[in-house]
Amino acid sequence: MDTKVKRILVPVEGVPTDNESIVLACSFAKRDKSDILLLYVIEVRRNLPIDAEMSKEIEHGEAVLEKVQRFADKIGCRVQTDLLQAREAGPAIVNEALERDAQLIVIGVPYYEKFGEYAVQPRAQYVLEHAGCRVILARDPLPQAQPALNGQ
Amino acid sequence: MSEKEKSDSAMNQNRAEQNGVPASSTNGSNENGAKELKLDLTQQEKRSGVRAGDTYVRVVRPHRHLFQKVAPGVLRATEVAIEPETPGRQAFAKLRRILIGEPLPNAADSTERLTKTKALAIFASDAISSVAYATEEILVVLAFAGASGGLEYLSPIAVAIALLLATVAFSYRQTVFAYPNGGGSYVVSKENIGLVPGLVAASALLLDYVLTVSVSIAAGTAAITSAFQELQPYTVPIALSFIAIMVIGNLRGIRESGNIFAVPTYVFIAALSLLIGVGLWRLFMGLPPVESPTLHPVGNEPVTLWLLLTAFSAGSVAASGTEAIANGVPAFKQPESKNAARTLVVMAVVLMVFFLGISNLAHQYNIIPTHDETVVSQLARAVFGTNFIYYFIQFATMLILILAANTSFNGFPRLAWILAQDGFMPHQFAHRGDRLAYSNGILILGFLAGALIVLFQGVTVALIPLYAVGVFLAFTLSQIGMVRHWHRTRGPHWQRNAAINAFGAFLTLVALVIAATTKFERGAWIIIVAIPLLVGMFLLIHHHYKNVHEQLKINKAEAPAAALRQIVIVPIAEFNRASERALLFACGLGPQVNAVHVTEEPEQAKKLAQELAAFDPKIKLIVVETPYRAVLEPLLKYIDALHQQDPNAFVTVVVPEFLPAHWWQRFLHNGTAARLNRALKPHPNVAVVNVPYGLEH
Repeated sequence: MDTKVKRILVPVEGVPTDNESIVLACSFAKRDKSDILLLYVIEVRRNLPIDAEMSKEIEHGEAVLEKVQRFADKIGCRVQTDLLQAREAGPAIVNEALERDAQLIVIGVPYYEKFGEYAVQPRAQYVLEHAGCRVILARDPLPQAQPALNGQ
Repeated sequence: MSEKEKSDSAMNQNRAEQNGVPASSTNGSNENGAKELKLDLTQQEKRSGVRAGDTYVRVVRPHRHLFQKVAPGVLRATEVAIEPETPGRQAFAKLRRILIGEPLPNAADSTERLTKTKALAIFASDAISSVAYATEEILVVLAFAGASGGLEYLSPIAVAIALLLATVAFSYRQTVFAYPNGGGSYVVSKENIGLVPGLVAASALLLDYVLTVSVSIAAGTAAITSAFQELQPYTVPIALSFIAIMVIGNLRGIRESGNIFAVPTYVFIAALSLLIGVGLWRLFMGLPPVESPTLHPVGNEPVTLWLLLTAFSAGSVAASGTEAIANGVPAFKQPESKNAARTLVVMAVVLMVFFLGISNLAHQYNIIPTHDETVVSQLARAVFGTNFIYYFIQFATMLILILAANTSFNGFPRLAWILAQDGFMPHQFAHRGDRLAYSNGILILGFLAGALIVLFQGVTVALIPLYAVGVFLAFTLSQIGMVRHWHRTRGPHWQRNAAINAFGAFLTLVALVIAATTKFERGAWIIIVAIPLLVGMFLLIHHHYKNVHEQLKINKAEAPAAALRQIVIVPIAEFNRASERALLFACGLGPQVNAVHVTEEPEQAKKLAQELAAFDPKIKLIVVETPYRAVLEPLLKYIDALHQQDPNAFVTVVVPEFLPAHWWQRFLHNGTAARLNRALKPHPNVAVVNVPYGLEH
């Protein structure tokens, strides 16, 4: 099985997990000399047209992309960036991976609990279920156990 | 199809539309066929996903590396956008970055602030350095009456100067709180006494800053050339190199110049603390000097009031540079005023302790300055002997003398910036450079100080008497201004504050009168002449800016300006791709395009007329025959004559111009377009538009 990847897609959100997924993607990229595409998705509310002018969100998205791009530069990794507007991030990531011919999606996820149990975030869940390419999940470490109070 | 052909075909299509021929519609084009421009450089590409309803939009900003979008309709140029495009300019930019560092954005302004430690080094180096020579200046005068007991007056005079220093510093401490945006003598005097006193204070300070740089650099250089006599012939180049280092260091920004120049200031503070501390301890223990100072002959003139006043005036140079902190309050970290006030107090305490310490030791050790050796050097020998510590003290003194110039490199550009903002100095001084430093002020100061050094061949001792007059004039005006400030604002404790400043004003006025009278013949008159000249220059500059403002101001009461009537003229030598493009451009400017053909061959004109008629019969052609072969002058005269028929109209001369593919090809052409452009530029109602046509090879 050929595991060589030409393009890696890394969705980012402006959270600390972004850096971990970029580091991971960079290690693959250096091995295979692949391109990295950092992707930020603006979710557009349904009461607005999909191509609505969302200056504030674009500004925030660009700031996030610039920050992660600087981080990537710092660790010696050349990346491209992409900004999307979509109703939901999950389908946009999957479709963009297809359009851009990405062979790998590296997606960072924070540790997330739903009803007291670990759950994959809906965005990552969708990508895991629907992406045509390989997906690597970079999950945050477990939150540290609360220290017992008064030695109990 | 080449790029050029594509562009031409697009233009022809445009033209066809204007002539009523419908053009085929293209994506992103409006009804005129022109491409709809996205001014914010953002494009949206709609993409349909795999499943129905997965449609998303790709926000494409191909120029994101050049312009960040910060708000609707607002772009922000990035660091990449300021990169020059031509290789020559790129090389210059690279060199500039090596020398002064990467450009800083405006947002970095708050990080370019000074801590108290760095600020003390930057703003106080001038004042602190003066202890290296202030005592000496007093002793030089008192030595004339050495045999008559004149030297006994060193301590009382030193105490009087210390009192003056304390008063000035305390008064400026009040200014720091009253004027948190930087209240140098200029601002305080202008706001409270009047414009002219403010400008007088500013002139005095600017002169003082220039003198400080040249004198302190010359003094530092003299220390080196005295130690290494073989360097004597290179005094001027050495001094100029020091100025260059200062200029570059300061162009790197205030924070970095603080990093560069802080160490020598603290080394000097440590060295003098050691000298004074050990010296006093030895005196207390009754220990004899390690090396007894050589006894020098002294004068036997009588001790007169004039002599004492002259000595006081000579020693009062110690106060020079005290106001730098009050001028530079905005350069401090928050809370600016509080930090500036604390730094000012520390500076004043250090200055007074050192000045009184050195004066006291000099008195106790019976030291008299000579041409060969300074007071500090003699003291260091007496306290430590000629050993490593002696050389350390001498080296630290040399460094601080050079670094005294650094205070001026912060004071002068800042004051020039304030004056430029108020329209009294050229606006170029209000410009901040790549590192948020006031670059033009720094460069001009370096240039002026360098010029003085060249003029005096590095021997600027003669300039020292000029100092005190300007300094005390600025101090006095500032203190009087503060008294009026307190009286006007009448805040809490205003009477007490006003009394402190009034006392300061009285003392500095006394010092000013003494300095002006005792130093008049030795050069103080230069300052008295130069200040009115500078004030006159400031007023002249201000008058010009005011005039410009008045002329450019849009008066809302007046009716809005009517649309400009245009006379469009296209000078044309022959009908070719370049002139065709210019004519097409001109057609977009107005309903009537007038082509002017200046020729010495009437046959050629006929051919041109036919070609133009075939191209567009609406274009009028006028042929100007030139039997004397001159082209430019008849054309200019014709344009003038045409304009006289309708003087209120605006003439737009559209000049066809082709751009050679290689730089050397330019020399093979007449460059008529460029000459025409230059010739028409001074005409107020004529706009010249060069329409370029790039040649491919």
